[in-house]
Amino acid sequence: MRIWHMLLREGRFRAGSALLGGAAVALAVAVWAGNLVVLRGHDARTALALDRARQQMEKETTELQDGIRRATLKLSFNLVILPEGQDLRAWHSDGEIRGTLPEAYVRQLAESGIATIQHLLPIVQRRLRWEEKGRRIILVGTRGEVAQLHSSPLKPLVQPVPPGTIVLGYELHSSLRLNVGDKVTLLGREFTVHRCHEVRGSQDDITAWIDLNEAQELLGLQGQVHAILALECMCAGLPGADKFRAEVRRILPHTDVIELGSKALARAESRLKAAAEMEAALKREEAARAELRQARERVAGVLVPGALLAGMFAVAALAAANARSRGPELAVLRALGWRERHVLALLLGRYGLVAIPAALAGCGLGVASGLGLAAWLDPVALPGPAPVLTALEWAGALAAAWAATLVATWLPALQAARRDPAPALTAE
Amino acid sequence: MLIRFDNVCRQFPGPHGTVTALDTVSLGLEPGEFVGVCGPSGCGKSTLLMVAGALLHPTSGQVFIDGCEVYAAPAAERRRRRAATVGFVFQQFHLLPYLTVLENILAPAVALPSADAGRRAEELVARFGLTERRDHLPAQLSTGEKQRTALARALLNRPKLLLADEPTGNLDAANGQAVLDALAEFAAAGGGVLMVTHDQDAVQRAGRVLRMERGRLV
Repeated sequence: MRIWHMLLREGRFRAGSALLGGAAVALAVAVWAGNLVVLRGHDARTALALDRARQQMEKETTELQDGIRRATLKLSFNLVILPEGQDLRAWHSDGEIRGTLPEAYVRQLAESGIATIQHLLPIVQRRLRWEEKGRRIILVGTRGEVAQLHSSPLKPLVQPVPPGTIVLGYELHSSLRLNVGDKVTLLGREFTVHRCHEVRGSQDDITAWIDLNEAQELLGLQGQVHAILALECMCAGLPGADKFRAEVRRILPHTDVIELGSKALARAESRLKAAAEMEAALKREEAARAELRQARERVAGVLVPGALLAGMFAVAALAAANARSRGPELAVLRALGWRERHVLALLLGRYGLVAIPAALAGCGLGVASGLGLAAWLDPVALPGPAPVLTALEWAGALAAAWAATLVATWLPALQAARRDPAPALTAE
Repeated sequence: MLIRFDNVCRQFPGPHGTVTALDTVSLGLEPGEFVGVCGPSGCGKSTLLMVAGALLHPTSGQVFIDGCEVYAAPAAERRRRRAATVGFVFQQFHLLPYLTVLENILAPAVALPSADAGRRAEELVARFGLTERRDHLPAQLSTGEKQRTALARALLNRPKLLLADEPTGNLDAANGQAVLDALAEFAAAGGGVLMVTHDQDAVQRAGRVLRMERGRLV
């Protein structure tokens, strides 16, 4: 005859009370496990949502940056270096640049090592009358770009105009019925039509491009240029423009640096703003998820201790009721010579034995309900299995449930074990 | 002497002042004696039995069980002596409802383990005619079978003294006689029996009868 044998028999005999105690333990453990699983589900779904948002943002940012690059490429240039004090109104309205810069500035700038410039294009430009054709045109002399000596050569962005040839804008070649290979005379010098541009909807349509040296000779500007175009200066991004301007002014005194392609800049700015918005939205999402987790932690912080205390109280009440109803039985055991610790073991063991399977059931119930609740709260399908409890946590839950049950039953069990047996046994 | 009371008093606090359940009681019980104690309800018979069984500390006086002044001994020694020396039989049987007959008889073995407890329990099952009931729960037993089971349980540890509180109170005549026969047999074998009862037939089976009134032996 052993105490554990009596424990099993008694537990089976008064199964209702034992089951109620087990249910209290199982519910407390289930609340704990459920909350843990909900929080872990939240974390997994947060990581997934933020990861997806981050990937989307990176993709869109890449597309935006590509868009900026393409926009600036399409407009061919971004910045123009002009003589200091240039009347911009005259330049914009007439295409006229009155002052000049030493042509040596181009090489000086190319050799300066400003990393943000990829292409430099010196030009002379003047609005004049094409006497031979009776038309007002903008004559541009260009020699293609000047290679940056400090870096590896890039593919030229603007093709030079070969000496002795002329490139015509759409309005000129279409109205004068000129084609590639035709001979034309400009300012008394003969040129062969090298290329005819498609319509651009800008002053380019009434522009004629010839070799820089020939233009300088025709306009009497040997060794001088009107402007230097700095193309694709946006490679380092918008903040690079300000830096570039400052550097150019330091290297080339008495110059102004004007941003061109405002449409491209506007697009770039809006796209960068959109990227910044996306970044901010991601941060807001992160903050919202963190706040939601804190709220759920607060709920768990109330629910879990509450369930634990309620479970312990219920087990203590059941243990007290059980001990009270077994008063004569325990008194007989004391009369038979049972030690106090034997009686204590009989009472403590009753719910201690129930606590283990109840905690197991509670863990299972908590995990199942936690998974369901987490999916209901955050209806985002996880790619893999949802996080649950580790083996160590299962074991810890069993040990903790067992210990909490013993703590809850300790006082009523001790009181019953120490109760004077005589009154319960006295027949009178 | 198996048990000796020297001027034992036991008082309880009551709603209208102190109640004296035992008033300077002195008695002795030798091995082989079957002593019956009778008296009206509330005269202190059951209190006498609890004090004799080392379960209820007297307010004053001395109680010796098998030569040992039990209430002067530490609680552990008192418990051990009770388990080894005293057997109890109650009117209400006080069987454990979730244990079988055999398991109920074996319950004292938890307090005083012995290698032959199982064999001894089987002997007692056979001796009290409970062989066919050995695996039954108390709820499945007749009152006579319950009392015989309680008697067998009291005898498991081979006590020197049996304390019986109205052992025939809930039994019919035949079963009552069987229990009294068993008590008499125990006394005849050298044990001591102290039985408190209202039952006049039971009293007549005792070798010596003591009468109690208002806590005193008269």
